[in-house]
Amino acid sequence: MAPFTRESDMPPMVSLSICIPTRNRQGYCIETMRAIAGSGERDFEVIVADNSDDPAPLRQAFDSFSDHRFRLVAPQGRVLSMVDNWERLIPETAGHWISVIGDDDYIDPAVGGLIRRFEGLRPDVEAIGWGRMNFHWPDNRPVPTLASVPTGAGCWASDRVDLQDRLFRWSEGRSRPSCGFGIYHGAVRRTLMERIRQTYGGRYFEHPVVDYDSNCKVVAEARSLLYCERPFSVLGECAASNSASALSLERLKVLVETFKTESASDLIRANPDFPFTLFEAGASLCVSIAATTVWFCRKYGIDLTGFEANFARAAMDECRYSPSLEAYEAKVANIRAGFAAWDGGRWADLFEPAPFNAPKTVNALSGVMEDMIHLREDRLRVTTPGEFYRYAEHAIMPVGHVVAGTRSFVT
Amino acid sequence: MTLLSICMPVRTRPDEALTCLRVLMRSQRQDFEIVIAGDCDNAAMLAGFADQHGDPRLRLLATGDRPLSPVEAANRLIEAARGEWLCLIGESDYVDPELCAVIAATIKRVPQADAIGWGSAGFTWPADRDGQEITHVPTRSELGILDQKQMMRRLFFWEDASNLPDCPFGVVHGAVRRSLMERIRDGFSGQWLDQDDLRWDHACKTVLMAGAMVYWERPMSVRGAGGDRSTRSSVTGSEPAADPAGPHAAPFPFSPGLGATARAALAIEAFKRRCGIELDGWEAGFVAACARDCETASRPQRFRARKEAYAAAIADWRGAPALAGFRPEFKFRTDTPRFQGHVDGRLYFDMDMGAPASAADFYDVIDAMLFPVALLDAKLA
Repeated sequence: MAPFTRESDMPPMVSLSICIPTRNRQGYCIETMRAIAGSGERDFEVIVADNSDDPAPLRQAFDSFSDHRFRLVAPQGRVLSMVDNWERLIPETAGHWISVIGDDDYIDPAVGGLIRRFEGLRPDVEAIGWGRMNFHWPDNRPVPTLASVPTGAGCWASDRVDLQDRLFRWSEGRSRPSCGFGIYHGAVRRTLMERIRQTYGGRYFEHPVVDYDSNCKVVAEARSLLYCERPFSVLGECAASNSASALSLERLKVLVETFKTESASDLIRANPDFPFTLFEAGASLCVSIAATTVWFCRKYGIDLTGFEANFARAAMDECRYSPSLEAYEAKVANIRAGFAAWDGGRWADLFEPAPFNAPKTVNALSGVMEDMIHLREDRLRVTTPGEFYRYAEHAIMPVGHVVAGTRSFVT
Repeated sequence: MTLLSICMPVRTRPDEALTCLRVLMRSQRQDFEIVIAGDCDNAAMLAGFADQHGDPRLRLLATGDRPLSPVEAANRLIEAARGEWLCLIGESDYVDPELCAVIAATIKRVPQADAIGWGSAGFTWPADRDGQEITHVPTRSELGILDQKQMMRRLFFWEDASNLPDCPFGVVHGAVRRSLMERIRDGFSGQWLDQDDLRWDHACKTVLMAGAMVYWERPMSVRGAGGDRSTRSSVTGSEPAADPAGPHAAPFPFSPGLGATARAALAIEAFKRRCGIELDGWEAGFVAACARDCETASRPQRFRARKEAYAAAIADWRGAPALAGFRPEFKFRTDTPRFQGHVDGRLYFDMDMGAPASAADFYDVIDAMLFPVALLDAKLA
């Protein structure tokens, strides 16, 4: 293992900057760095922005490693909000392209090859998205869990108008708008990031739900957006992840309190344009995402026609897949209260969730559905997102063929 | 009552058999048994293994006083089996004991079912691989009754065949109810099985005699294969002869050494002759399967040799005009990569996924990403 270096060793310009903001999850972060350091790619850098209470573990990790591709940005004198920790990362980067992942995730630096291919195909490309795997760390499996791997390898240019319809107006009516573009598990050209900063309040990121803040701005601004179905990164979920709340109501309560404390922002405490509570029982990612997209659209004057009815469908979709009656009732009550307070209850009648229908199984249905492999994680012998990525690569198109644009294969 | 007997003759690869047995015996199920028998060379090893485990689910038959042919060994195992259902696998193979759950879920909905087949999965043991090997498994999980006439067309007329007939029924890597086994024994020769190519011998009989054949698309077992996907096990087809032009049964001039297609056809033709079954119109399907058998060769030299040998046999059999339907193409060109991913209900992946060291390890890998057996009953409810 080659040692990582400290912040004083600034690298020359590289193709890709991988940013890892982290707070108090040093063990996961070090594992993530180790996995990325195993790459033979040279044309990338990794910037770790440490926002931990104790700076020693990551500092020591960097002291014991020396890999010029890695740099540490040390904690400041006070705890930063998540959005501020992301914000300070971007000026530290030297890449033409920038990507952010979580400290318990993984990204394959070979995605640089995809970026070069797309730049060759469309010189004006400013945002690149790709498929993502999902993986639960072994400490985050209080119930049966599934990992997932997209198996496609198609590439295409996405229609920005369609993306905006999906992200801003929730035209799909699903619990999460499918977007695929943004700096989080995507790549954004540096010039677009600078344009975003100039256009949107002098900051790269504003809203505490930082990933969707970025999605909104990228989809609003990017001149050309290219997507590749083949996954190049893994969304890891450790026990301390926000998404771990999906597996445990107790975990949800702890995370909500932490988020409230560390994201002291009026943006999420009170939003008269979208008065759904994000912190009480029944809170859901669906509502958090909608609060972010509505905030963005209202602030920057984006047409929201149709959003209300679409969001009602999305909220019903969110309730439909509740794992238990308790979770269903909490969600319905939360969302119903939001609809009652929204525009004087004007949209409340649109929210008519179907009665609770207990699922036959929860997180047990492995198999291949809609070209996505779902794997029962208790059967896997890999323990980190990096290991999982290498494991799953056996069942997806090799990077070399994707980067080369190979179209003919033998089955 | 033992629901399932898994029968495994052990011949030349007892180490591989033991890797399978160790995994089988980790199962918590108590409704299946494993019946094994070795020969003089491996009897002590198997006896030591059985003594060490002391598991009543494992029954080791005493070694005979002479070496047994594949069919003799299989008949002896089946004779000793006590299960309501039987399944025969080779020593390089694996079958999931959760097959018991599949049988239970099936007969709950189809009480008359007496033959169960499932999707196929193959594994080349690491020492036999020649570089990277891409394999595929079916990913669908529908369960249904298959029509007997359709199965007969697929088996005897080679309809929809790959290089082999698309017929997943019979006691080899299939489950057959004891009552059907007995009907087959009594209806044909008085023996459970008649030919050393156990798979196709029993497939023919099962397709003709079964009351209801139920097929589950999801693989429940793994066939261990040797290099270039040649059959490795004595139960899934006899070993290829050294000489592709070796002895064959006139008037069907195909030798076992030609390939898997020829071996299957030899068994099917022997069965037809024995039963006095004469069919017309199956030849074109068979010739096309011969071409596909050539196309399974991953090396140009092997492809050419196989193509020439099949062409000579076909011409000898039906004359040069029959070669019009024989147009194999070498598929594994170095400039055309293998597909990896999901298409047409099949997942294509590198066989080294998870670095499986045995057929049982390989099953563990695919089991984690296929429809869970435990949910079959709920799915059918």
